[in-house]
Amino acid sequence: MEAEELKRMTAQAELQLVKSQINPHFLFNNLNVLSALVMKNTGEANRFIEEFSKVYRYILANHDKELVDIKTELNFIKPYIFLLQKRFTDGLDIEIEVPEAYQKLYIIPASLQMLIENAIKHNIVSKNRPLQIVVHINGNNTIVVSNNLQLRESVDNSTKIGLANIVKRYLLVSGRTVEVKKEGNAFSVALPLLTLN
Amino acid sequence: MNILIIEDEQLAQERLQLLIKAYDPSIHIAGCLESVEETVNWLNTRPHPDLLLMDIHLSDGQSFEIFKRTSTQKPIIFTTAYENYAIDAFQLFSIDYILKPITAEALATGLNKYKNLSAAFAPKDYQLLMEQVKDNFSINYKNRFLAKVGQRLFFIPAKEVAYFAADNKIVFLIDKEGNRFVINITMEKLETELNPKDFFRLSRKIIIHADAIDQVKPYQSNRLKLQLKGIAAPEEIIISRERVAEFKQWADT
Repeated sequence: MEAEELKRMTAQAELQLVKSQINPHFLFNNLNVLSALVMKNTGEANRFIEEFSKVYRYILANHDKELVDIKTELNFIKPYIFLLQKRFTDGLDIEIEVPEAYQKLYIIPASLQMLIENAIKHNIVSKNRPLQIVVHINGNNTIVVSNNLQLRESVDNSTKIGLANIVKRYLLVSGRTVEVKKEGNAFSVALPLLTLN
Repeated sequence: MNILIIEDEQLAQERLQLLIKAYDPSIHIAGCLESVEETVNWLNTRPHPDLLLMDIHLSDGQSFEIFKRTSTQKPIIFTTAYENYAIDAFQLFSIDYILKPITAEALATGLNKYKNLSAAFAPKDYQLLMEQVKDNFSINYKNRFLAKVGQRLFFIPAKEVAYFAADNKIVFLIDKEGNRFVINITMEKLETELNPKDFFRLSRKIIIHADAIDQVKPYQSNRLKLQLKGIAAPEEIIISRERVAEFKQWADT
């Protein structure tokens, strides 16, 4: 029964991931940035294409997996962040602090990406008020994505499925809870670090 | 033409500027803004640009907010990666909706649309139009005459003419020094080809230049008689009764 539900949730998340990567917001905005780079700086444009390809390669390779090791996930997150950084420049500040020792542990594929995407979707991203996102390991075996809370007035195309789906899948896969915290002007989501039996 | 760019991504801003300059280097970019807040402040404190080039998803919200907080009614070209806001955009003063990635062609189409629409709705400048019409006419006014004395031909500029006199189908040109020349042109043709500001047909027999008139005196049967400057004209210069009112009006302009 639980296996059945996990399958369903995974399928739903997979669909969500693929959708979010091929939606106009992501794809066309990136192509728009690319067309600007082509006019301005061909070296940068070339780099952008390479990073863009890495993001898609990861999605193709990992979208149907239940779990993925953090090292692999980070190899996807870094080019993904590169694309975001090109678009939002000084409006976005993302730091990743994950010691090597933790990179052998497992999480749900693309969950970090989804949390970063959510933070950008719901918050102001501007030079005057940069959005600061930190990905770090917390002592009690969780990987945390946190950001300063500066909510936008309106949110485009929010499906409200992403976070709920991750919470549910963690419960089904490991029986552990994802902790969502809102304290003052800080928002954070802590994902349990898993090991393969 | 002034364009205000509202776009939260810097590279997208730069690309728009490059594309606009490539389309028409004379277009002035009034500013580049990235948020609802900045744009509201800008529009509430400065003269509005001719055209707004506007992304929908801005750094702090959706650009539709701007129209709730400002009075701008300037035309807008929306630029966005989403196609699903077209109806919302349509309810504003939008003239085009360009999907990202923005091509030079799509932008040119939008900017052409702006030009055509603003030309179609511009108030006609009738004053200017009148001047142009007048200019065209004045080009066609006759401004010199070929006159004959014996076997010799002279050019006489229209401004040297005192008056024209018809005598038994022969038309004479009398210049301001009183010299008489025969010219080969009818009174009717002269009437249509002379500048009506300078010349007036007093009667069947006389067309006068305004500058040649010295005095106007009453004459029998409600007519007027003219005395000319420095010329003792052999014929009497009489304004026929039915032309007196028109003469007075002409003389006064």
